[in-house]
Amino acid sequence: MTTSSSATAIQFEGVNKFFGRFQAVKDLNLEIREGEFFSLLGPSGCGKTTSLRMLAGFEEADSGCILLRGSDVTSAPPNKRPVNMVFQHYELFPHMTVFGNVAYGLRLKKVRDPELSRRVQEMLRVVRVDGLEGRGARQLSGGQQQRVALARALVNRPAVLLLDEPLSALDVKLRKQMQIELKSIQHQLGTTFVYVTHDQEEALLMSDRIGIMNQGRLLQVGTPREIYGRPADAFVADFVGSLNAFDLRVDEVSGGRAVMRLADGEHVAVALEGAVAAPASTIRVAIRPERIRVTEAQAAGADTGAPGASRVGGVVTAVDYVGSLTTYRIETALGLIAAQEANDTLAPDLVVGDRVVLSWAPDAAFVLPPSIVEG
Amino acid sequence: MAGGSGRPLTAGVRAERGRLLVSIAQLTPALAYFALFYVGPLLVLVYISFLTFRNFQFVEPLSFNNYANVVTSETFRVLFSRTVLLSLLSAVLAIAIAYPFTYIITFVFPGRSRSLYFLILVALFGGYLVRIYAWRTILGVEGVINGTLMTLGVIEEPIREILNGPFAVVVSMVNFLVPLAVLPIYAAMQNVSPGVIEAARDLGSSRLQVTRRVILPLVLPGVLVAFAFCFIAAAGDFAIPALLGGVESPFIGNQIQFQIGQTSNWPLAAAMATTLIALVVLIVAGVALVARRVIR
Ligand SMILES: Nc1ncnc2c1ncn2[C@@H]1O[C@H](COP(=O)(O)OP(=O)(O)OP(=O)(O)O)[C@@H](O)[C@H]1O
Ligand SMILES: [Mg+2]
Repeated sequence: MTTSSSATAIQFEGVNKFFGRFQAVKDLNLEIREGEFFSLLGPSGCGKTTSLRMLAGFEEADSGCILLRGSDVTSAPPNKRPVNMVFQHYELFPHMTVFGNVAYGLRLKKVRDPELSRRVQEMLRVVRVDGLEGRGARQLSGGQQQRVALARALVNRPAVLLLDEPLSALDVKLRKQMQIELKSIQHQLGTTFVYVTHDQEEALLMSDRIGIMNQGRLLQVGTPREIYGRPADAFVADFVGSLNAFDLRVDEVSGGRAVMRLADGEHVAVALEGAVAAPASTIRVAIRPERIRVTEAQAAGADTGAPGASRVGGVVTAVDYVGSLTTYRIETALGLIAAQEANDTLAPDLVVGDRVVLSWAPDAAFVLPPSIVEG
Repeated sequence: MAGGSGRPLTAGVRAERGRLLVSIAQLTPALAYFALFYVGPLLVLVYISFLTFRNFQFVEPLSFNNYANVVTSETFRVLFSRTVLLSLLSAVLAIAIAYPFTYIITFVFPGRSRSLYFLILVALFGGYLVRIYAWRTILGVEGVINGTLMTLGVIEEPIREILNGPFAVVVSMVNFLVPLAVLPIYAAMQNVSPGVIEAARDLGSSRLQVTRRVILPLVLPGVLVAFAFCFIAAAGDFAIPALLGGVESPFIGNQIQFQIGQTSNWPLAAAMATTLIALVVLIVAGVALVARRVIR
């Protein structure tokens, strides 16, 4: 879901950042829209925090510029930018109460009492810690500190809220709950959120758009569906969700599809979607495990699947049961392939050694572009 | 305590008591040491201060006579005021130097703070008397300051008042106290998380506002400890006033030394010492109270 207004909140233009001789951010070009929930996703050390800190004013870009609502803030100090940050370790002021923490920014802006109290209380209600305003910051649970840190930033009505892995210190259950809440708070207030995480599920769940980074470079920007469904390169594909990749020998190109004929008479096909594939060459093809149907070999004969569906036979070598899902590992002519089935009433009851047929719809597989960055 | 009131102890209270007993047990060696080497001598001192000095002996009956002597004597009152005022001044100056120094080594050059801190420690453990004598040569009639001023033609005669007066006492005292002040302030500043400072900046504080609203309140306990260290050390000192203060500016410590060494009047010396301790404790407590009010 993208916002209808196309106003730009943030622009990175050719931003580079070095620490000594090490380049942490490489030629970053990025536009983030007003009111958007934007996530920067990538593995540890890829430069997410550095990018966020350049937005907040804690690091200065070595070259390029950063625009906030059109004005250049590349070298503005942190206190002169209309952005606020939620830190990974919250960083509440330990010598102040919850109220004092949340009121801090407003007091600096000379907001006086009836309004000050009203706005602080209102924000404490939004993040659901009303009633704790007299508590010392040291006497809060992790989840409460998290909420207070959020209120302390949001109460200033920043143009952009920056969040650096704000949920990483919480336990799984609380994290899931806060993901939903954060998303709904963002929706309610309409503030632009820039959210840093290395958790791909979190990014897919919460974001309007996601930027994927690796080794200081932004590889792809898109909606969760675009990123997951049509990753720009092998790294993105592998980082966002799990993936099967195999080499497809191009025996035939027809109707925008490359087809590989298998020894048993079946075939495997991939939509080229603009990619080029010369006959007799080999291309790299990927498919998500959950897009693959697994059928017992005897039953498979009758089920021809959709017209043009790819089919390949194999033997089950492992069954990983995780409650709602089961992942099968299957040895095929294409190599070892993982397929995921929901454990509903139609789930096949397979054990290691069973002969199966894998099948998938024509648009399920995609050509995997070579990596943009080695690594 | 509440056990006899008929209400059964909750598990929580019992656990609390158990923990208290354990922690007392763990503390026993420290408490014993403290009692033996600090509280004991202090009690002896207080006891002696109530004795009577007669024919170079201290005998019972116990009385307040020594204290009456201390409080009413004009000489002693002058000594006490000078001791307290110069010590306060030295402690405040020492903190005024130590605070920015520590601030700079912690927040401006965080990479170098350990080595700079080590340098300060070396200064602290460098010879105390040696440093006092060094100040004599710097401040003396033929010292570095007078020498320089005469060479430059600023003065024709050496200034005698530099040495042997309150100025020399305070300068040397501050030099002696600065490392003592750096120690607790440094420890307190180490506990200020850099993230908290960034949060304050992010919320709109200038660097100065961060210092005033975040760093100072968080470091205040360390500053108060520094003040207590410095003030106590200064008020109890007698070597610096003896060697640099001349005949004009002795401290109460010099009088105590005189009463013990020359006249052997231990009870009077003990009364002076006890009065000094009480005075110092009151002033430190007062300063702490006021500081906590002002800096929040
Ligand atoms: N102050 C610094 N001095 C030197 N190198 C730094 C500094 N800050 C970051 N780096 C380096 O820059 C790279 C990017 O760091 P950054 O903190 O942006 O990573 P990240 O994507 O946030 O990773 P994580 O998910 O682990 O937080 C890392 O290799 C890191 O070692
Ligand atoms: Mg990071």
